[in-house]
Amino acid sequence: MSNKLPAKLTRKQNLATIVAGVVLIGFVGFLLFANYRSQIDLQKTAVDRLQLETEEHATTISHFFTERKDDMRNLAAGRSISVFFENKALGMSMRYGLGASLLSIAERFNRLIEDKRLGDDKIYTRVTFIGEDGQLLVDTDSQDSSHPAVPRNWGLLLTPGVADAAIMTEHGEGGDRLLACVPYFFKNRHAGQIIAWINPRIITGHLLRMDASVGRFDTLVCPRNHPYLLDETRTRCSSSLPDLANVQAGMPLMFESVWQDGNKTSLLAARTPVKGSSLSLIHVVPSSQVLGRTAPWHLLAAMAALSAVVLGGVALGFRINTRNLVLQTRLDETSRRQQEVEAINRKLHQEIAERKQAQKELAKHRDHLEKLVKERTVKLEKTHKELLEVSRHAGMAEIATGVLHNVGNVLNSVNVSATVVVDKLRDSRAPFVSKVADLMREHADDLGTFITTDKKGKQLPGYLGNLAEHLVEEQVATLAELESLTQSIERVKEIVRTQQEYAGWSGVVESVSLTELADAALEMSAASFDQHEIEVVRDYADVAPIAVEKQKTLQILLNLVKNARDALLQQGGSGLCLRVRVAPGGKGRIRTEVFDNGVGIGRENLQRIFSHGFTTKKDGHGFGLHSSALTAKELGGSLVADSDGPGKGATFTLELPISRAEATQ
Amino acid sequence: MVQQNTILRIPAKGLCTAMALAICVTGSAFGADLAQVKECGTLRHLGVPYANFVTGSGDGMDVELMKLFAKHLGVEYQYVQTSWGNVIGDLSGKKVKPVGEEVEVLGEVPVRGDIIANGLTILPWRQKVVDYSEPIFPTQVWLIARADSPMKPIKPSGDIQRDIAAVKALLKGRSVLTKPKTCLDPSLHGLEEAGAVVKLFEGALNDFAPAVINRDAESTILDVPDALIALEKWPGQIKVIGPISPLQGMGCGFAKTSPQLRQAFNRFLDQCKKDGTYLRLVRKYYPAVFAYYPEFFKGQV
Repeated sequence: MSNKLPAKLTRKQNLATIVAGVVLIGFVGFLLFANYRSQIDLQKTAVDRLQLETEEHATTISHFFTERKDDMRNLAAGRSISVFFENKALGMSMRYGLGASLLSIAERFNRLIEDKRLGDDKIYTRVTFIGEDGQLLVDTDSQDSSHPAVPRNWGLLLTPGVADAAIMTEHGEGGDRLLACVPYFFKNRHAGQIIAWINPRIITGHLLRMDASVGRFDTLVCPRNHPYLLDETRTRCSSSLPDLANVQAGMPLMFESVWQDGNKTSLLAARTPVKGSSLSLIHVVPSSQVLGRTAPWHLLAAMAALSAVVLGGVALGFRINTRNLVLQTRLDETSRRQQEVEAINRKLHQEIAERKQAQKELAKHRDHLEKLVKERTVKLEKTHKELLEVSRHAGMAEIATGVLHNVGNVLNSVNVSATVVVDKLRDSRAPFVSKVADLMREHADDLGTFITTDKKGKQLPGYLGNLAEHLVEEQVATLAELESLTQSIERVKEIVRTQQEYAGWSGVVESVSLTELADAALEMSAASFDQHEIEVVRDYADVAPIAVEKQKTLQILLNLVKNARDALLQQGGSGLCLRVRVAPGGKGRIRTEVFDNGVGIGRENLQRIFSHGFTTKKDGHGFGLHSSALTAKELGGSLVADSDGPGKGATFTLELPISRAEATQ
Repeated sequence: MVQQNTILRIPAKGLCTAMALAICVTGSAFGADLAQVKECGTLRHLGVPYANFVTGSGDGMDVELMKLFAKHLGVEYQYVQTSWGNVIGDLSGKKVKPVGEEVEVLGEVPVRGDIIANGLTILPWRQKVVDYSEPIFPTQVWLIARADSPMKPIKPSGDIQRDIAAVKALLKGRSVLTKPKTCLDPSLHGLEEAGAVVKLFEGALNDFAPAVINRDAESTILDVPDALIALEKWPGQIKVIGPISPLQGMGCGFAKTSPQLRQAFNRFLDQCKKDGTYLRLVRKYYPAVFAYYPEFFKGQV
């Protein structure tokens, strides 16, 4: 089954190849035939173009002849010839006066010769005026004595039957010449003829084209089919040039010509009449320049042979190329893969080099970074110590501030009590006792009489009784104030004692009750809580004391309580509450939570709030929480913050190990 | 001969200088000779506007010839216009009246020029008072008639005398314009003897042909140069009947006292003929003359 399928495919491929070959051969045959037809049409077009080119040039020559005939007409219309005939009609003789008229005619003729030029060449070489009797009356040649006029029968040039100017040919021993002539009529009678010889250089140099090097030339043919040949053409081809009279107008003729140098050339001649004259223009060109060097059927045969060879070659090449193509494809594929591998290798090498370079740079950077880290670590340790010291001092200052604030409040009560005592002593009625004594000393001799008889004496016992009551009241009030004063002093003593108790030496680990520390922290801000009506809730569980540095722990709690108080004050309003909860934390740890329902903390600030310098308070310096977190970490514990967002309060949780061993674990 | 000229020149030099001074300062009794002309530094050309010899417009065949002669002498050229009646006196210092081939001296007049050059026909009476150069131009006097005149041009016989006789035979009773003291003087050509009615014309010679066309007379006599110009100017209005005089010559006139100046001019003219200058001037001003007088120019053309 697997062998049959390729065999079927091969047969189909062969069939397709045969069909394609037949189609290709048919197409090539069509191309050959179309090319043959195109060559035939091209030759026909080239011949038509040659004919058209000849006609266009004949038009140019015709225009030239028209101008020459106009020259002749202008001469005939001139006054000078008329004057001659008028004087002749008056009977004047040539000997006496009439000859002068001919001089003015000659002068006119000479002027025409001088004026009419084509380039630098004069158009006319000679102008004559021949009388109707054949007498040469004016001849511009005769004025030059060095070229005397050759005697001839001038009457042969007269054309009395032609009424208008014409172009004639003259075939003589001196060569072929073109003449422009016009008959002259005086009083409607043929009186003579003006004949002008056109300069052969004008014909050969300006009118007829001649390129002897390629055998291309023009010639004019007179009515008698005598060709007006250029000298150069005549010299080269006169021996073998066929009779151009056989060339018919509008029917180009091809013929063979043998040049004097022995070269045999196939020529093509086209003839067209020159309007306004009896002449025809024949344009002769080598047929190869028009029809090409190869005949169409030759080209067809050559192309057919070439096509056969090419088709055979294609078929052979196809077979060879099929295998070569596979091999080449494989080679190309191999080469391509090899190039890819090489490219990958180059890329790998490059990457290796780059990585080595990067590693070097990384090592360099690492060394540099390690150096920097060491330097920074030293600086950070130093800074940390400084921060801890500053923090401790700050905590102490905070405690001192709280103590002073509490002391101040107590002193205020002391002051009030002292003032009250002073006022009472100042308003005391004790001096009245002295006055009663003086009065009784004055009446010591008759004290009885006096008390019984005298008016003032009679009032004295009652007065003494009232005075004694007042004095007793004063004593009670003073004693009460003094007791209050004593209590205040005791309070101050207690405050100072507490401060002294927590302001111990740092670095000393001792067993501390977190609830007591929390109370102490709250106590230090108690006055502020009372002042701002902040409810303080103590939620203490029964927890074991922990081994910790008391002073640092108090600093943390003071800071948390103070922050809670500030958050509550910033929130304002009523219902402000600060709750401190002391409860067991994780394993071997005690958790102390300080909760407030103050302004809260934005979610985005929960992590940043422990950063150094970060604060949300107007007068804050971003130092307290940072140092508290550091201190908690130093104590082996942790400090975290939590808040449901702005306006929803915040909770700071301090977890401390019960012992250093726990902390170590 | 050379020695003689040299010997004669020494005493003549002082005399010539004195004469030149007299000519230049006060005018003289006769035209100056070569030495006086050179001494004075100016050649005075006496001219009468006539045909193409002196056109009156500053040019003309004789004007150009005199300018070349002055340049040849190394002196300034000066044109002195005169009239046919005074031209002889302006050169010779004598007012004369022709009487046949003789002259009658009427008196003295101031000399105004050194040389006459304006188509001056060589006539016997003029030769009595002036010397001529070699002939410089051919001429002849023709009878010219109006185109409608009954006089018919003669047919040349080949004999000039017979032709003249044939023309004179036509003159009987015909009016002919003439001008005394010129080459057209009727007494020079026997017109009255031929029976012509002679009319004297006061105008210039160039006006004879227009006068005939205007019927002042039926015909006139003109010398050939003037006739050729008239035929060219008024074709078909006048016709040439035939010759009235034999072939004549024209030349430049010199005072009898200016032989060296005349010789110098003759030498100059000969040089001009040899180098083609003369023919160039003739062709320029009279191209037709070669056809009529080929004998005159034989050997030059």
